[in-house]
Amino acid sequence: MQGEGAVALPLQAVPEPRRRRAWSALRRQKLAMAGVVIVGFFLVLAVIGPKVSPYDPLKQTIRERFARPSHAHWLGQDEFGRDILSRLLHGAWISFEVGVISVALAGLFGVVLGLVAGYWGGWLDTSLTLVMDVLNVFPSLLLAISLVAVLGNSLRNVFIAIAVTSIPAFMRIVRGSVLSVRQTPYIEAATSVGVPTGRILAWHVFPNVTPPLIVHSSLTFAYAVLAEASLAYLGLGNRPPAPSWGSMLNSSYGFLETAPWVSIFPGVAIAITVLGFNLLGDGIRDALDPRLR
Amino acid sequence: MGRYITRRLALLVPVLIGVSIVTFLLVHLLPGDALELLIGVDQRMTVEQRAELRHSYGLDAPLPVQYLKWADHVVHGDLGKSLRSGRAITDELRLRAPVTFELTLLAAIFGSIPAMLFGIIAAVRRNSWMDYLATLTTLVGVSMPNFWLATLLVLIFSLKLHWLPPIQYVPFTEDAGSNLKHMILPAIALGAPLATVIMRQTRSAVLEMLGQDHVRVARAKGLREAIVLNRHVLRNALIPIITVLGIQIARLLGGVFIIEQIFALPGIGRLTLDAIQNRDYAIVQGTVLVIAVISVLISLTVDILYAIIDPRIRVS
Repeated sequence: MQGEGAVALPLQAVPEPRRRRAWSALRRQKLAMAGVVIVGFFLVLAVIGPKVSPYDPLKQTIRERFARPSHAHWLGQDEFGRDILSRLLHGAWISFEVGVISVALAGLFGVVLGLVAGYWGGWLDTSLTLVMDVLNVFPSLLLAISLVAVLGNSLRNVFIAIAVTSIPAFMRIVRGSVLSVRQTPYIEAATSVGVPTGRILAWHVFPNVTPPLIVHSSLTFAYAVLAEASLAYLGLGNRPPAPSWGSMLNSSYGFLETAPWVSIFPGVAIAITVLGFNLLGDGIRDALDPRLR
Repeated sequence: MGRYITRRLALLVPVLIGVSIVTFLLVHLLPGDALELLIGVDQRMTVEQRAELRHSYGLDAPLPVQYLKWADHVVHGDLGKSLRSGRAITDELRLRAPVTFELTLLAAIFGSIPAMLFGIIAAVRRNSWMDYLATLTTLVGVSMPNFWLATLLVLIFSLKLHWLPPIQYVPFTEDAGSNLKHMILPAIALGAPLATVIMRQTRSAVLEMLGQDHVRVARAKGLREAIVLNRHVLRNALIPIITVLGIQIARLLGGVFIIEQIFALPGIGRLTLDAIQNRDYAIVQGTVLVIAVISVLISLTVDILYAIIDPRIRVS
């Protein structure tokens, strides 16, 4: 009997633009909105953080080492008497940089390789897929650690390592979407009227890939922040005294019992940021999934 | 079944070759002199001495030739020698592997069995406080860097509450009880990300099954809830859970590095990190290869297990 109700539907079926529909679906989810808020907060902090930080993140005040959180130093001071809040604010920029650059690199390579492999198929597809399968075999942190170890200790090599370990997933997603649209009539139509392949890929195939791509970028951003922190924790990549969240955790470990705040705040910062990007990614996925509406 | 396994094994060959090439190139194609990376030459050597050394190690041969030579040694169980200690890398690995194996195994147990139980409870009691608690825990668990979780665990259980001994490694053969006590926190820290994924996967798989027609039929014909769950829900829900478990256990191997470092456990992860610090690239190459091969074997096992549980895989 529910079928009768459906008759009324065409009246209000003026199609809402897809983007706005996705946004309103996103707004209905509390967790996803929490993700939006966290990510927004993180982005603002990363950009203005270094300018509003109350102290110089590298300034050592040995007399005030391990000072507890106080009015002057909200989050306390570390083993060199440096202000933890200022270091966290500067560290936010590093995490932001790592996230943006490695997601962009991995996304660029993944999209191009995925489009090529999915659209042309054949031996090209087989060999690219094999290469990605091989890269996938290495646990990503292991691959990232060894890449940075061999390439040398620098933030640039951290971008490269994180990007390389993220390319296979991007490629797989893009390739899958391309395969699903390659046989559709509108691609066939475009091919038959002689649209150049590059244009077909850019204008007709790529738009189908964007929704999963956005979701995956958000999740990869979370991974990148976590991976940078892990590498820095192991002393790889950004060297001290640079205020990377991971290396802050690393150096604070020895003073866990006497000054727990030195290790608690950077950990909270990493966890909340990663949580935000994960929530956002999951939320967008649900919002874009028509089955869940 | 036999045919499926044969086909799956055949697929393994190109992947293993690829893995060995990547591992080989990792050290050979990168900036810097392979001589310095692999042999760690003394800076005071003359150009002639270097050339001679390069020749004696076969480093002046073309890359493909070097690769084949190296691969030949590897296939025969020779991973080379450590640059620092001069010991065979295989001996070094044999010494360290049991620690990493124990840690990974315990982490896999901690990370899967309780997680599945909670996942089932969360699905069966959907929207109860237990479900919300489980969801909240997974969200936090996924985002928490496991080295930070490790730090907090040590701070709370070892330093503040004194329930568990401080960081130290005791070999299992020496004192099994003490060994296990020292392994609890590392295993929990390593297994936590796994647990969150498994719990999430279990919850959604069980939820999906609960809504299926055959479950409704089973209930309609008056089967007891326990039997419905056991026979009709869990068995089917197990399939996606096992896939995820396979992928995630391979990922545990990546976490081993950090956890062994924090808890001072002398396993393969520590060996690799120490080797990186000492620029002992022969060891890095060896451990990377071994870990990659182990992760290939894990995924092979999971695929076969998968085919045993789900007949549809074998046929297609």
